Amino acid sequence: MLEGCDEVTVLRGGKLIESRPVAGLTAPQLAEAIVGRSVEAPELTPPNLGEESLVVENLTLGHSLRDVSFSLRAGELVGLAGVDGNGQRELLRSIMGVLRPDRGTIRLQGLNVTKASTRARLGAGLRLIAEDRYQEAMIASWPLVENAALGQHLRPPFARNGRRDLSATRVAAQAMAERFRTKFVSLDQPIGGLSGGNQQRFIAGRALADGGGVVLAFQPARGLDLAGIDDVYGALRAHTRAGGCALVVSFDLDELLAHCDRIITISHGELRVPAPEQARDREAIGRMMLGEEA
Amino acid sequence: MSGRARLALVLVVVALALGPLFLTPVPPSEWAPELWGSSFGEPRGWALTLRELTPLLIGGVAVWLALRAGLFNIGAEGQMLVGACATGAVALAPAFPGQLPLAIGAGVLAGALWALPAGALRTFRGGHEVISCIMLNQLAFLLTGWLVKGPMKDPNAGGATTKMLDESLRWAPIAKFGRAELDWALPLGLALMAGLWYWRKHRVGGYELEAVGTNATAARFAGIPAEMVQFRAFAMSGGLAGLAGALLVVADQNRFYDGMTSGKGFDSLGVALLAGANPLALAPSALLFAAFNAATTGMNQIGIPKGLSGLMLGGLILLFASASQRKDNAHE
Repeated sequence: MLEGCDEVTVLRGGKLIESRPVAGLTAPQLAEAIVGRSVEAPELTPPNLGEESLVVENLTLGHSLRDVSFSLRAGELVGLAGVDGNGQRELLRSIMGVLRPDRGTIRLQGLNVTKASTRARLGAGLRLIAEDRYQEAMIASWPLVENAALGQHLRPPFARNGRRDLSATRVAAQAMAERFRTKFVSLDQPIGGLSGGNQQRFIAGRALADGGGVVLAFQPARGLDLAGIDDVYGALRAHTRAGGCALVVSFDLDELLAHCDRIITISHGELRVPAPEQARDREAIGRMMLGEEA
Repeated sequence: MSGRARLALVLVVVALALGPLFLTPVPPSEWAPELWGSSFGEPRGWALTLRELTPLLIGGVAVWLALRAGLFNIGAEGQMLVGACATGAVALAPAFPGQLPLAIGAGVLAGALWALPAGALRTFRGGHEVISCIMLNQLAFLLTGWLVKGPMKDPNAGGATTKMLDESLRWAPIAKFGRAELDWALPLGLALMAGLWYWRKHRVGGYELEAVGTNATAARFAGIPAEMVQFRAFAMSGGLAGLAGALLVVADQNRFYDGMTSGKGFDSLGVALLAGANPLALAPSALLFAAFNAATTGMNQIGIPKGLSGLMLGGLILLFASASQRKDNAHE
């Protein structure tokens, strides 16, 4: 917009914010006008590392994953950079237990969960912000309040001894919705009726609702506006600073560089960790994403 | 849709539903009272409708359960039939203590077992349940037909039927109103329906069933063992259909005869589909089908072919289904 246009008009929440020539306008200024508050890259404080929370060793699945090994320690926010379709999807699904890898082990909070059910992994503190909202993360025709329990529906506050607690579910759903300012009319409206961004806000709120644990996030900022992206990464950071850890898949390297403690790359199913001196080297990581030598 | 367009549509469907009757030589002054009289009229109408109602209600509960898990149990007819046959077989065995509950249990078990191959094929191998159910229905017709023409046949009877059950193995009616009898099977069916409503709203199992039926992939990501949930729902659906057959024997006919379910399992599909998402709607839905089946019998006696009554039922179902669909869409 700054390159191609002569004049820019900013609308926010149905109101005209400003209308002015592009000349002399900087990107942060424009972003601030759009969002209504300043959006600056966060100051990345170094993580306070704890125990290894997620350990993946020699994970192999067909041609999609080849001997993938890495670990996540409590307190860190790790970005998985790669071009779409290089094994990110299979990796996250294998960690969730939705796909069965051919070989390798997965350890979660010290437990070997390689053969455990998805249910057991969710119970051990694994959370997912899924790639495909409509297929994987929510039941579109269900109201927000029913979607709130999905995945944790067996456990308090949503249920006790197999009996659902509908009023506690409502309270939890309200908190999830408010966490990232989901715009909704009623908790009883179908989640499919919300805009994509608001669905994502609600689902991110659900994944980060109970603190702690290992969060896997596949393009968590997809469909969000600038403020929403800031909110979600901010919450992921807060989650890791509170002792959790998170692995974020994104196809946008700049987004990862701006928000993550460290970055690993995946290309053709092979995982590579940049050398320490290249840890924040955009060009070098970009080459690794394409499978070239760093 | 504007109010006028909606009215026009309703009128068209009503015309389609009742239209066929005007094509018959029987004048409206004769069929109109018969339509009412043989379904809700005193005394025989209610008697017929009540008899039809119970198996349709329990069959509807059975099909509905599978439907909510995303499975179409078109095998309810066969499951009902083998359930009835198994109950008859146990009830006609030499007397032993606990025979009645065991006979009913045998019916439930037979229905569940009859559903098992289709359920397993679908959930673990991806074979479509509709195809395997249709084949299992055929096997049920042939097997029970052979049994009741051979080993189970009452030697003194002309047709393919068993002996009548011993008095002690029949469910006595709770109440009689003229020719109408109310037996325990109907309250049991209503209790099952209410139980299902409670289970679905308040139990985690009901939540998981609904999740699997609506979006199985999302359910798997939420840690729900979708295949297992579907398999269990299908087996339970078969067991409930078997129960409907068992009660047909002990509470209604007091014997087993060839083809005695006479399409009640297939009608149960309509009952469940018409009820939609709310299990409590199964009762009115079953009542509609029961009244129509009763009316069909009565109308047939005054010379209106059964096929025409079937057409009417089809038209009415279309009307009700589109009305409920509109309500569902309004929620979206």
